[in-house]
Amino acid sequence: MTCDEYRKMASRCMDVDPDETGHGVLAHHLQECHSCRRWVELATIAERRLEEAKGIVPPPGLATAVKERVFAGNNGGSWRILMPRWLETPIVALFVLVAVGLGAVTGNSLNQILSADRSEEMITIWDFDRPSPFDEFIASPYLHEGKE
Amino acid sequence: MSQWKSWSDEELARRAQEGDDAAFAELVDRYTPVIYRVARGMTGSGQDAEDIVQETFLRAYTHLEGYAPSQSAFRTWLLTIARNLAINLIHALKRRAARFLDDVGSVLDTDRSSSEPSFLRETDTDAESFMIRQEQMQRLERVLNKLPQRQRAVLVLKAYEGLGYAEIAKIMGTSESSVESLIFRARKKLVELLGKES
Repeated sequence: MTCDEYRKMASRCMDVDPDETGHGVLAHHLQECHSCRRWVELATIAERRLEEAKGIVPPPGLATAVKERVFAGNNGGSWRILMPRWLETPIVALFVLVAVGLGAVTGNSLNQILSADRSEEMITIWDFDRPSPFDEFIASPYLHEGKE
Repeated sequence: MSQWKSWSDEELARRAQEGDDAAFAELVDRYTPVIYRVARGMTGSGQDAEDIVQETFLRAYTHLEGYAPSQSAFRTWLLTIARNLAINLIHALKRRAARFLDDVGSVLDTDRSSSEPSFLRETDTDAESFMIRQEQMQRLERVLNKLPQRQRAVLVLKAYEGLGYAEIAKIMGTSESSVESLIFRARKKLVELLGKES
């Protein structure tokens, strides 16, 4: 085995429990090879320094800022708790079914209801010769009371 | 929200999937320090780490329905998002290499005061040892920044968060043997760079 292979084995030993055979072979090599022993020492020191960085803490208020941003577009938190997300789709589907059902009961399909041209109907309903309530109000004697 | 303290991450995630924002808020509290440390280790910048933390939780919240506890631990899923965001950011920064080189130095210098390692702030009263440790941390961050991105990522996940090869492999989207090789190569480079610096 080369020194590089021994060092790779040593690196693994720093992370995972070595098996007996591997550990014995490595220990024997490290006793004989000053260069590899020095490498393992430096790697261990570097690892320890890195572990010290565990003490890095985020700036105060970061978690609060994250929550504010995450929930900013979600003002409906309370109803979402009452109604789980998996219920949203079935409820929308239910509304559509009810609408189609009502259409069927009144004798019109959903398309007919939505696309029906009501202008003719409106013209028929609206009799232009008949005085409107506004005309009747203008003409009412109460409006002219006391003017004479 | 002490009511959640005894809940596992996966239970909280399931509650959050059902629409309970308080459960997701507890996950934010639990994992903000973890994501921040990893992101900072990978990018070498406190400001970038803050952005990555924000974006990670925003994406996690938006895509919460895609999380399956049977496939991975919540921590693994969240760290995968963070790692991908950090890589995207690093690539974007590389594209703006000139600006990046100017910024890193100033960001590292200015934001250190607001996010010192807690062991320094809480226990160190001796000004000299404080300075020595600060110098060591700066040196470490300088050296880490010289490692290739993948090597830096595995080393940070291993040393900062103490993750095992299997979990790192999932986060990195690679095999355990690749993780082992990456960690070894990272240590080699680290020893070489630290040796050069001293």
